Amino acid sequence: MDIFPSITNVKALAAIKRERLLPRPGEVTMRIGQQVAPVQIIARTIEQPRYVILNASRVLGVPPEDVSRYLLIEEGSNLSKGKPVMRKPASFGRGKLYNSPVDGILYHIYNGRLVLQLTPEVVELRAMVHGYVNNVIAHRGIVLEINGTLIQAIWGSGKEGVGRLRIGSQNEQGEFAAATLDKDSHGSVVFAGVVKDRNSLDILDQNGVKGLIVGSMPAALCAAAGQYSYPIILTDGIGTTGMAQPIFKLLQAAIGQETTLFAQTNLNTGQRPEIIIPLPATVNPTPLTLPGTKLEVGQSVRIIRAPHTGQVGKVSQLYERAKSTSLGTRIAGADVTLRDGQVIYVPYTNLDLLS
Amino acid sequence: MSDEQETPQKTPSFLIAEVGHASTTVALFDVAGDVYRLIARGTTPTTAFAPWQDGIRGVQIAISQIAAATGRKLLMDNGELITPANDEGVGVDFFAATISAAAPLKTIMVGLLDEVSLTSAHHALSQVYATTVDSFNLADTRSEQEQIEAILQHQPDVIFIAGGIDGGKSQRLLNLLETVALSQNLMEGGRKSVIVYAGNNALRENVTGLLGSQVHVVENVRPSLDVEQTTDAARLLTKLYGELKMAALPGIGSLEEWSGDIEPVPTAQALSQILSYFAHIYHQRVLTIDVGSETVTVIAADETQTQVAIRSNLGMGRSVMALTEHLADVSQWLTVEMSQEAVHDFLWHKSLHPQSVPMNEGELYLEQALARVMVQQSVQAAAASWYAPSTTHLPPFGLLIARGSTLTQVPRAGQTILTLLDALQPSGIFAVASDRYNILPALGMLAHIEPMAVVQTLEGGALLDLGWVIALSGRAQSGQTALTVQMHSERVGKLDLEVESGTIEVLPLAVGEKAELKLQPTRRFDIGFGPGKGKTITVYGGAVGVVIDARGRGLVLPKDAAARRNIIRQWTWDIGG
Repeated sequence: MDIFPSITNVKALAAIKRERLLPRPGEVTMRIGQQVAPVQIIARTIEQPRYVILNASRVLGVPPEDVSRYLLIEEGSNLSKGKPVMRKPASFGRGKLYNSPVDGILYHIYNGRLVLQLTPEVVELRAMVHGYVNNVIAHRGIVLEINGTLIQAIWGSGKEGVGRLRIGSQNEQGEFAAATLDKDSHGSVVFAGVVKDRNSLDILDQNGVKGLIVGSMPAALCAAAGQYSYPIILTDGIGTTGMAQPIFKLLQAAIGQETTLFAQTNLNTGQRPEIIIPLPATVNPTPLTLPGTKLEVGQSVRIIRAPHTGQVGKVSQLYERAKSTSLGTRIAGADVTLRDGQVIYVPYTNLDLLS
Repeated sequence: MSDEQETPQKTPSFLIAEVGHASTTVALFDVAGDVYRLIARGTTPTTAFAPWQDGIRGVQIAISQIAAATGRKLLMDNGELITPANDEGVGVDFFAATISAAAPLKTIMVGLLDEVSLTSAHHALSQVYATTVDSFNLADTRSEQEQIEAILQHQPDVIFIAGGIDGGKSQRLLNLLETVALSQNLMEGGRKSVIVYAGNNALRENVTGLLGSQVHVVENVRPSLDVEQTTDAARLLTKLYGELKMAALPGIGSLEEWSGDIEPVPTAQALSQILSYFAHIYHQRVLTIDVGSETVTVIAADETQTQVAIRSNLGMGRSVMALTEHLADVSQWLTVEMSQEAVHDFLWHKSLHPQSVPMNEGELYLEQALARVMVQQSVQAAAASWYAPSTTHLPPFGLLIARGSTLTQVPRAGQTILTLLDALQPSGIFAVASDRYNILPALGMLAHIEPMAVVQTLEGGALLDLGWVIALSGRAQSGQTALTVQMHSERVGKLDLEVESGTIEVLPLAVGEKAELKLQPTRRFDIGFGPGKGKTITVYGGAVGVVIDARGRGLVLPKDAAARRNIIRQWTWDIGG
């Protein structure tokens, strides 16, 4: 029986391809083969249209079908805030003028209502990471090719950031210590084993960091994470179990390197938060482990449920048929040898293949 | 001897898949000996979502598991299904699928009054996989512009319009519909919501005039103040779920090809079919509680009707986050001390790993506590929807079927019964079964195609009989006698028991055994025949036995946390650990 576990890529040097896409169709400013820097604008579009509804029939006090008689501009015309759009005639004089409350266009006239479309803001998409343009997706964005370290994470707060990597805790189990910050922290990306309180997140914000990578953090902090100006990425899980040692070591080795956080998470599309650290390709990068990779004896796995949450071990035996767990439920699983030599039976659904 | 030899009629074999949000199960039904049996089943994580994005892959993996277990070749080397079966037993004759993995219909309700038309609209929507993201009524204080912004932001699949009794005047409803019509003109990229009109029939022409001929018109869900009719609307919504959501599920095309004339149906529909079938063959009311990954489904059926109530975005997967607002409710069912912060952490962790299962008792009991709250909320909503807003409990039933891995994949079967008793707080006498193989939807499809196969498969033990429950309503001081029982069975012989108020007792009666019970409640208690009225009944055994729940109704838990944990632990032990 083939088992296809969930996969987390943690690669010291990988050939990474990442799409950078606009939220809506727009203009792509890059060509295939071009080198990009994090701040570089690669595409731009306009924000989703916003509308103001003006009930002209009510304002003018006329039936809806008569509204067009009082308009000073036609459907589709530009609007300027404070400039007149309609006039109600009076028995004497020029009548009363009604001004546009917004800049934009008169988008639509519907049953006595004027639909004013606001002039949209331009949305610019930046590369956020060093790399090469591997492909251009017309009107949407580009595919970037990056050689570097890739760490796929568990959860992200939904923003993006880039900065030099610096350490924020003593080890993978350690709590973030404010004392690790100094005047050079501004603009950096900080990593730590655990963050346990709001105060730590506030201090990081006050120090102008561009991102936080943390092994684990309580749910209450995750719920509040969106309020901070910088992205937050959890590599391991919710709570205070810390960071998996291989990930912490990988980050330690990259201290001082420019590090990019893509902290968007979308469980429906499979978008996972990622940490990318571009590196010069002095040796051949390894390919990413793709979905459909079978679980095999000898592979590194991370256990995702208590009492072994976050522990990393190696698969030592795969079972075709369901076995009884220590709880007494029968479920298919594998023997995993933990770092301390202990062998435990773990349901396949509780294993994450660490590539 | 006749010259013409009669060719024995070939009995068809069936592969039926259930593509759920978390897992995909495929069951093979075929004749073994002379009767249909569940031959084998395979189950695997659903692959309709990232990173796979192909639902058929999970079905193929599950079929491969069946092939490995039975030695029967079912798939070609390229993964295509071999159908029909040949004389050598290769392949299968029919394939069918039920689906609950697709996202629920995102809906906005529009109606006149919250407690009248919108309530009926909500009842119609609760019969399908749907979530209501917003609703507009006359009491809405938002401006027209804000309502339009809400529609544009949510981009609903369906705008469900109710309102007005048949024949009534309702210009005010038309005013609301102008907002809907305008919003549709502003939706981007030609994408528009599907509009369903289930309001005052006198306004149908005005509505189609305003919203265009594309609007789907169904019977008014509230034709008069005291009448609600949701069947027509629910039928259309089920169809829309198939067209808008199931059809968009990656890999559904291959499933449809394999299914041929047997179109995939929503899992809840297949469950309705089998519950209705059970009600007819057992001549009693049947109830199923399905705690899924993303939905909790309550279905009750008797010989006259089948009632469905689905809570979308509530379940043991990602939707477990819905309980972050109910941490205290969850905590009251825990057997070990655990802070609400720890429960909160667990909900987040579980939502990130929806397919994971508990590996220690703390998390096992925590998941069962979550299930209690989900079932309680869902049953209360179902009761209010099916009967009256103030109704919180369901009427008596004769058979209760548990579904969903939190209820069925338990170390000891008593935990399934206890979880349901705590959540439902039923009274009366009923049998309990567990759909441990997750094949009830498959049986629902089978009931449609080959009804005899269902009966034979059930006789073969496709459902796990847990036993019978005698649940007493009433209340007395702890320690007082609530019920006297005289049990007579072939294996145990005669057994007399006095059951004290506030306790749970289990009488031993194994699967396949039968016993006669003479039940006599004391005057404060009722077993379904009136206070103090007894009865002699025949019951059948199960994995747990005969459970007597004399804790009283409504169940009152001690306010002191330590005392509460102790008593829940005691009940857990009493029912088998």
